[in-house]
Amino acid sequence: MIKASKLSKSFADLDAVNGLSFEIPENQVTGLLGPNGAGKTTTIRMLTTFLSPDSGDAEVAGYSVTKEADKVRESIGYQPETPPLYPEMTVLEYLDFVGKIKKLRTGELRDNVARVLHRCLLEDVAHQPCFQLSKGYRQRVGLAQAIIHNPAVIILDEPTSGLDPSQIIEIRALIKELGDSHSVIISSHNLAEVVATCSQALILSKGELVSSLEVSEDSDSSLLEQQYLRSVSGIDSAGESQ
Amino acid sequence: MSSVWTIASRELKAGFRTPLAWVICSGFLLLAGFFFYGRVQWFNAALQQSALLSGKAPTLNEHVVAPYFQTIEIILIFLIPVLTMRAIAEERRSGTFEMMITSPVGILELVLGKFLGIAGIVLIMLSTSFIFPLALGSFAALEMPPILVGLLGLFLFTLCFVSLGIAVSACTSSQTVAGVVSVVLSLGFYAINLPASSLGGFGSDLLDYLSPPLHSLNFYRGVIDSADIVYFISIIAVGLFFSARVLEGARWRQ
Repeated sequence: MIKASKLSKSFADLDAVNGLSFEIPENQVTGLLGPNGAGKTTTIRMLTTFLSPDSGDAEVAGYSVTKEADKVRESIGYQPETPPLYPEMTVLEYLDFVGKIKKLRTGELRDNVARVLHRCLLEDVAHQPCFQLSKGYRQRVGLAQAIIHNPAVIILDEPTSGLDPSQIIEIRALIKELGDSHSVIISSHNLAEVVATCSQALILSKGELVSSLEVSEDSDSSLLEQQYLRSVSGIDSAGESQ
Repeated sequence: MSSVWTIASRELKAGFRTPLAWVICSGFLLLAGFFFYGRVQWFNAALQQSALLSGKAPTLNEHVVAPYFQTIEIILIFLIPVLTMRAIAEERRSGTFEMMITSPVGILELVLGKFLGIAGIVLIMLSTSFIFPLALGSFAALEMPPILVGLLGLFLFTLCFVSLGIAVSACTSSQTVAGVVSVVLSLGFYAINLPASSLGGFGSDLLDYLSPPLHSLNFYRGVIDSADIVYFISIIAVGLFFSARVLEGARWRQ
């Protein structure tokens, strides 16, 4: 469903992503894991066509991000790290607006807005202006706009950033549920989050893919932690250099 | 193209749901009313003087309404950047820009939508200022068709500066920077033919041709010249095209 081939992107002297290649299958939640500055957001921005790669290419839902960007945009739902809300609009108006710019037809729009309001547990706040919403609700509205057109691929940048524990549990459950019928890719610097929601973790460090792990909620977290630390910095969890 | 209307409608509603458009419209009406009253006072004095000297009597259209439109131009040079500074800069700051350009919306559609939304606010603002000539016309001899032509000219004139403001807003994520740069560029553009007399020849003709107030003047005299309309549409198109190119280029630079 997503296939990246030697993706690279530099900013001035910084190689943010350097020759990144990976494949993500259908109907699975995959985590891009790595410390701050590992290149997760830049990778996601290239997959969503927000940024153009300096070299390399990626196929998203069968379309090239460099040659068929318009088709890619129709096939993805994207939630940036900060939920992209218009504060003066109510949740209902906002979702209606996003549905229209995602080219949903009138009947389809009404049904899809009702569906995402229900799925993201937003019915109680549907008529509230976005500026009055709590951080948890804002994240949910951000997620709702990403899935309103039922895209094949859902890309979420740090979807639980800044949420309290109960909100984190709710959002994680929703992401897992979405993974049953969509290809979902999330970025995170939190190993526990990736373990709780993903079946595959792609570990990035300094713009390169350093490891790929199969994960599940039953995975041994201390073992995964060791593997992660070894991958990103070459040390184990006890602090010993490898 | 339906996205253009969706974006324009949101922009227009957003303007009036926040204090911004209300404050700008109120400030504009207050200043416009003040200057209109000043012109009428001046007209009365001039009328009495012409009666005493038995000279040619001034007319309301020529000596009140046309100068009133010219004064409004100056007010708009300062107010329009306040409307346009948030157009793209605010979207960039709040993260909605990322959502918009990763949606199936073309960058030109986004820019056109923003432009039409702000054009709607401007149209409402200018229409309300029509109340002053209308009030005067209820008890004085005033020709309405030239005034409507003048309003059309003022609208086209203003849209040039809306287009310029959106182009500046596309270059930065700071509303303050966008606002200040827009005011400076707008003033520079408004007075572009200032050095024309010292240049002479082609340079002088070029600067005069580029000067917006020289093109709007014909409208204020009640004359619709297709060359002026082409000029205004060209300037608007250049500004919008530049905005779209800047945003497209951002995909490589960010």
